[in-house]
Formats: sequence, C-alpha cells, structure tokens
Amino acid sequence: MSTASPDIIAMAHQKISAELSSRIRDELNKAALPVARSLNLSMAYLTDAGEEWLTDSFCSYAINDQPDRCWAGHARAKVEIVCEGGVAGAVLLCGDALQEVRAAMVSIIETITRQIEMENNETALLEELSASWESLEAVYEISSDLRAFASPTDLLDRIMTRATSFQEHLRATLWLERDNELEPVAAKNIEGLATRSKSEGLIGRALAEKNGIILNGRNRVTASLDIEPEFRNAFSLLIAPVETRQGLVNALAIWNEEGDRQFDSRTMRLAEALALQAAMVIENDRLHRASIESERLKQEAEIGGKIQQTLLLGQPPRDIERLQVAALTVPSQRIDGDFYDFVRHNDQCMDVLVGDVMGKGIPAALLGAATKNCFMRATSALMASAEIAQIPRPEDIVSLVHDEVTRQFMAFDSFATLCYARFDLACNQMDFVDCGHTKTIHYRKRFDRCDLLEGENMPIGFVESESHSQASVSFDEGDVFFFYSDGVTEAQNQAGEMFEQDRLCKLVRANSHLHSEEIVASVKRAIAEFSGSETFADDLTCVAVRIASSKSKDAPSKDAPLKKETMEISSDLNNLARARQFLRRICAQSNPSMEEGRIIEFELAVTEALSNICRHAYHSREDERIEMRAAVASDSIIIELLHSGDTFDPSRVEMPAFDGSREGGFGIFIIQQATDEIVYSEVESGRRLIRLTKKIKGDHQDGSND
Amino acid sequence: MEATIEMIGNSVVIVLPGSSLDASNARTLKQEVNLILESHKQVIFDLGELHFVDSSGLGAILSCLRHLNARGGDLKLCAMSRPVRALFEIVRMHRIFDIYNSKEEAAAAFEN
Repeated sequence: MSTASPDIIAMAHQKISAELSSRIRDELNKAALPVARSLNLSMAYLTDAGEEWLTDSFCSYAINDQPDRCWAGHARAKVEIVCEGGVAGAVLLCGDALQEVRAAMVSIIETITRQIEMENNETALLEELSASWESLEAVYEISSDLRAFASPTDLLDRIMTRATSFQEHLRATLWLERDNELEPVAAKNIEGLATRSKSEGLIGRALAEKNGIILNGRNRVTASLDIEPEFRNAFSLLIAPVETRQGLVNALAIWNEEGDRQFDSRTMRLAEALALQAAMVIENDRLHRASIESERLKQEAEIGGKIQQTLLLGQPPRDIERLQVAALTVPSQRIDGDFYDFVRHNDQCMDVLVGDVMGKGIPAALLGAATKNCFMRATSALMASAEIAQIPRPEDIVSLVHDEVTRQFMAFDSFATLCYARFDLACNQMDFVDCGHTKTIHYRKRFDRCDLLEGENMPIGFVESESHSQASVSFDEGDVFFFYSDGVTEAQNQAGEMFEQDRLCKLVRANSHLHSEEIVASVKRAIAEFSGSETFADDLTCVAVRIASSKSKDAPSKDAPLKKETMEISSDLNNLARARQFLRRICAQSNPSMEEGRIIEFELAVTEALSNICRHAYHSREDERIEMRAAVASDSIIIELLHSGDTFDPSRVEMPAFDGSREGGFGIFIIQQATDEIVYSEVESGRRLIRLTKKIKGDHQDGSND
Repeated sequence: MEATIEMIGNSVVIVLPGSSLDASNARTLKQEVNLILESHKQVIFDLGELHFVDSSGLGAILSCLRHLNARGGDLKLCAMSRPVRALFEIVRMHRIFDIYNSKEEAAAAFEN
C-alpha cells in the first residue's frame, strides 16, 4: 500500500490475474457501500484496463469522460493496491473534507487487505493439509467444541491440554497481548505467571518479528539472552505467535523439561493452529456470541462445502438410457468423509463408488478425496497395463487402491468403508466389491422386496494385506439399488431412536416406481420428518440407481398384457421342474383359463426350449443365468426365455425320426408343435431371446388333442 | 429314487420313479435300468407315477426299446398319464411303442 501517485492510470499490472483483480473489485464494492452512505464519499477502482465507479452517491462522472469536473474542488485520495508482487490497480476516493477521505480510505483498505489475506491463508491452509493432519484435526475438533462448551475457561483448558499431549512431559503457556503487556491467559503444568512487558524475552521477540521460534537442545535454549525464567530448564522450546483477523495477538509457548524430543515445523503448525483457536475463544468471549456463532458456522461450512463439492462428490451420469442415477448429500454442520463417484465406461456399463471415511472434519474429508482420486488413477492404470483393451474388474481396482492408500489410513488411525459397484446392462448384472460399507439395498421388482447386499471384505486401511473379492447379483427392469452412508440409517428422532435400515428399505420399496431423483428426495424428506430437523449430526449421503425400461423393448404382444411375472433360474437342468411350476402358476391366472391339454403342451414346449438353452446355448454349464418372463394377455400366454449363451439355429435341426430309429432330435419339433408361435431373436449384443406364445383357446381344427 | 421292480410271469415290470422324466434325470434312468435290460428280454415300464416326460425322457425310453430289440427282447409301456400320452402323440411315438392300460395287460401281451 502506498499513497497516491499521479501516473496511476499508466501503471502496469500484468502480473495480476483476472481472477484476483475481480476479487479485489468485489471486496471494494462491499467496502464502498457503507462508507459512501455514511460519509458522502465517492470511490473508483482504476486499472489500466479501465476504471469502475464503485459508488455514485457523490460523483456521477466517469473519470475518463470528465476527470476535471469530478475531482475539481473536492478532497481526494488515491491508493495503489499491490498484490502478488504487482500493482493490481488503485482506489480513488473523493469527498468534502480531506481528513474524512483519508480516514475512510485507510479503513477501507485495511478491511479489504485483511479479507484477502484471510482468503489467501485459507487457500494456503488447504494446500498444506496433507502435510499437517494433526494441526487440522486439532483445529476442527476444537472449532466444533467452541459450540459445545459454554465457558471460555473450559475451552482454553482443552486447547492447552491438546498442546501438551502430543508429546510426554510438555508444559505450555498462552500469552495475550494487551496494551503493550503480555497477560498469561492459560497454562498447563506450570503456575504462578504474572503479566509482563511485551518487549521482553523470547515471546516478546517472536511477537515483534511475527515469527515462530524453535529451539532444540538445552544449550541453545540457555544460550539465548533475555530468556523468560520459566524456560530455564527447557530441553526444547517452541513459541508460536498469531494474530487474528480482528487484530488480536497472542502467543503459545510449549516446552519440554525432560527427555530429548525435538520440535519441528509440524509441531509449529500445530501450535499455531492451537494458538489461533485460543485467540478465537478469547474473541468469542469478547464479542457478541450469537453473531460470532453464525460467522463461525458459515466459515467452516464454506471450507467444508468447498472441499466436499470439488473433491468428494462426483457427478452422476445422465446419459445412460436404462440407468437412472441420482445422488444426494445433505451436509451436516461438520463435514464428513463421505464420498461418491461415477465412472461411465460406455452405453452399457457404469461404475459407482460410495465410501465413508471414519472421522470428521477436514482430515477425514481429505482422506476421502485422496481415496476417491486413487480410484480414478487405479482404473486408468489397470486399463493402460491390460494387454487387451478391457474394463478392469472391480475387485482388481479395489485391490490396487487398497495397496496404495492403506498405509496412509493406518498412519492416521483411520479407515474407510466403501462399496464399488459395476452395472452391466449387457448382461443385467451388478458386480460389487463391498468393504464393510452399509449394506446396499437392492429392491427387486420381481419379488417386490428388498435384498441387502453385503460383501466379505474388510474396510480399507484395516489390514495391510487383503485380497478383495467381488460378488454379483442380477437385476431386472424396475429394480432399484440404493447406496447410503450411515448418517442416513443413524439419523435420530427426538426420542433418540434411529432411522434404521428397515425403515429405509420400506421407503425405497414404496418409492421404487419413481425416478431415482425422486427416490433420493423422498429419503431426504422422510429423514427430515423423522428427525424433526433440517440439519443433521452426520452427512446424509445417498446414491440411487434405478433400472429403467428400454425404449427399444420387445413388446411381447400387441395387446397390453394383463399380468407379468419374471423368474430367474440357473442353467441347471434340475430347475426344469421349477420352471414348469412357474408356468402352471401363470397359466392359472389367465381368464378364461387355459385348457389342461394346452397347458400340458405349453409345459412341454417350455421344458424343451429351456433344456436346449442349458445344453446347447450354455453347453451344459450349470451356473449360467436364464430369465423367464411371463405375460398373460387377453387371448394368449407368452413366455420369454432370455439367455446369454451361444446361438443355435433351429432351422438346421433335422426332423426327428418318427420310426424310433434315433433317440434325439425331438425337442425343436415338440416346441413347434406345442406352441402357436415361436420367435428366436437377439435382444441386445450377446443376449438372446426365445419367445413362446400359446393361445388360451385352440383353433377349431386342433381341438382334437383334448 | 429307486425303481420298483416286480415279476409278472416272465416279464419284469419296472415302475419308473418320480413324477417327471426330463432332461434332468433321463440319464439316471438309463443307468438304473441298464442291468435289468441286460438280464431280461420282456420288460414293461410302468409310467403310472410319471406326470411329465419330455423329449429327453422319451429318448431314454426309446433307447431302452432299441437296446432290448437289439438283443431280441422287447419293451412295453403301461399306465401312461394324459400329459405323457400327449408327448407321445406329438412325436408320434404312440405308434412305435406298445402301450397298455395296465402292467397285467402288458404282461399278458408278452405271453401271447
């Protein structure tokens, strides 16, 4: 900051980013409004790119248009704004009296500079976090305590306890600067301190230089002249001076009289963080509690929100035709380590990652972010290393991530539960690796019930070597998968009861016919209603994936079917009897009912078709999937058999030997004879359909069977 | 499940077990009756318990017939339920097999 210079318009500011410049302008604007109202001043912000009037209460002319008229006869002040090593611009003020103008200018500039410094500090703080988990942890634990504890004495005591607990045998004092004196406001493991001059001793020096001091080794401590008496027996000593936004200055001294542990820059950061917290406690005590409360909440929510939105939460894909994906987060007052992400591989395949890091605050959030990013890198790394271009298996991805982040988690005494799920529309299957996460809800439309999906893997960070295994479930149209954090099931009502999984399952089931966006919204509403609050102790995070119908769906009949049912069986021939039972049940639903003789024929046809799939499409592998869909139309019953096995061409099958000379070859013939229509088709890549239609009543000519 | 066996005169009557004979158990049937087919020439299959037979089941029965025919023996069927009869008619096997209402009738047919 310097005073006015005449060639202000010509100054260079090429080093200043456009972003910073617009931020300065924003801050000036905010500062200009109240000043202009109370003092009748006008204010402009100048850069060589142009000038902008920030207030027009007094001067209504742009400088370039009529500079003389604007400035003539008025007191004025110009101040250059120097930032990031360059001139960002200048502020012009004009008003009636020089003294007023100057005072206003000083106040405006100070406000703005402090604001910008604060923001820069916040950014720097975020950048430093990975190197200094302890300090962050301390800051955020205590900032939440700020609300929980009423008494500032208690709070300061907690801070001092924290300051002396990261090593053994520590002592600490906290000094507050007041009228050129230092006042001891808190102490741990030392007594009998009195107010002293701020120009004396090591603390005085640290405050004057605004620099922390670290002295390791008794010789170095005692070699320092002008030493405070309490430090005389110290082996190592640390002094952290801080100044708050509101101008409060204090210093935290920590020292060790036993042992030879040393202090380093990490300890310094921790001490600074604690000293800052202590300063906030003192400010809180001085200022109006309510206004500070809202300010503090806002501040933390802002940082937390920033991290959450940019680092923790991915965007659900919206362009996969048969997958409706929706995600929802209701942030709590303190950020959690909940995270989720989505990877769209192609039109048929998408991965969902949901996870929750143990712990709260920014450290948990950053561990979550690190884990989430690690998944992206692991997927790319596996794809790059694969010899054939293919999507890596979920279990391989999770294993690789586990190898990379486990040490980090162990170092921070933390762990993450997560679920990595892959939705494959080509085979209507979800593969998932669950590492101790909340049980995923799978609403199965076919049975109108919710299944809970659970894996056997340990959370990430529990044990160093762990091999991960995936499980698979099949899904159908109308099924819903619901992933959620424990904040959802553990939300409490006034009576202290939890929302619980059961209630959540019922809710998902009741809303399963809705779009996934509405499903997550309904969960949010239900929990708000249950807890009687819009704010929650934990983050509520949920992801819903609904299997929507395909637009190019094969319609089984021109008539709208009256009833539809689906059953899935494995390609084991032992399931043939079950399939016939299913068919009998369907046939019993037709109205008018199908004649017994026709049911018998239909049973035969379906059995033959199924055993063909087992033996020829799946080559007698018994663990493959066959889906049976049944629809009852007004005049017929349709059975669709879907499989992903090889195709077999029924037209190439020989006619059976009716003389009994060959034992096989009857199957296809039976199907043709026993149904009214048979269609073989490929529904989608690799997925084939056999559709058998049997009319409920026979034509006149083939009524002879009965 | 084991097939119940009884003798009526020189004929051996095998009651085919279970309610259905399809691709899942047709092979088992072949194994189960194989020894009997080796040692007898007049064999009767009692289908009274079967409510469902598919082409594999039919193939198994057909295989037994051919086995016996090759050794100079014969197979007769009896007590066929309506659904099973339906299958035989669809593939016209009711013309190939000798089918009787009861095992006694089948046994009597062997003696003639």
